[in-house]
Amino acid sequence: MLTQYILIPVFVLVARTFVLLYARRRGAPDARRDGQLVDPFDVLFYVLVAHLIATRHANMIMVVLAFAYAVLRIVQAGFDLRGSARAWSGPAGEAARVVLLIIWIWFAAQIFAGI
Amino acid sequence: MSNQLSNQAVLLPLIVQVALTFAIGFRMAAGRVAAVRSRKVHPRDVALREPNWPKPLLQLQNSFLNQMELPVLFYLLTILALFTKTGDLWFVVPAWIFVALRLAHAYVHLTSNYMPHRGMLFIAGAIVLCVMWIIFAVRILAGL
Repeated sequence: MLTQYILIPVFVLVARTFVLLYARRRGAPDARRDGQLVDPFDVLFYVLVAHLIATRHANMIMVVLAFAYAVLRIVQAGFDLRGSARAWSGPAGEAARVVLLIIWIWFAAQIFAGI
Repeated sequence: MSNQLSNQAVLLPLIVQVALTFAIGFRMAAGRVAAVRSRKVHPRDVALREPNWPKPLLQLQNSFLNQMELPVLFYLLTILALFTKTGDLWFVVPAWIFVALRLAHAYVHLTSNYMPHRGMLFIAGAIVLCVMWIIFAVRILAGL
């Protein structure tokens, strides 16, 4: 099981949260755009990772998809903080959510259908 | 390096934080019911989360919602510490400091609501939590 590897995207997203918190406290106007410090979809991601570890389903496909989710969320945050590139923020966020949905479906399929 | 403590010892700070959240949540719910029954607030004025509750209830609401932000990362870290068997004193001592700061933060939030004090306690909690995550990440990544 790839427990350590599946945790790296979690570390990245948690670090992102603390960076956003710092940016908010510094008064960066674009960091205030999103009212929530911890994105609800990130919570779904954290719950998923915890379940992947608990059920020993953290395989290479899951790790790759988890990295893809984290990278897209970082790209989204980068666009959010740079007002000029905000048009790209939406698509990056949508892509991240699609990836998260795929991971959840894949996880559910493994659990319930034994794939 | 790791002297794994019992599950109870690792989970106790989390239980206290959860209890704090429920206490604020129930107090908020009771206050809301009382406000509606005494006709201080009409349900249609708050149905879409408009900030039309009396000020003390808004304080409770803000404090309750605040418990759903940084503490979520604390819950996650506690679960991961259990799964990865890294719940030792390096985890539990900062965990108690974090929860104590959250209790103090909630107390200020629900009493004087003096922002400089509230902000200081929030940031202190955030720094402790950040350090906890860094310690955890270093231990996990060192095992790669």
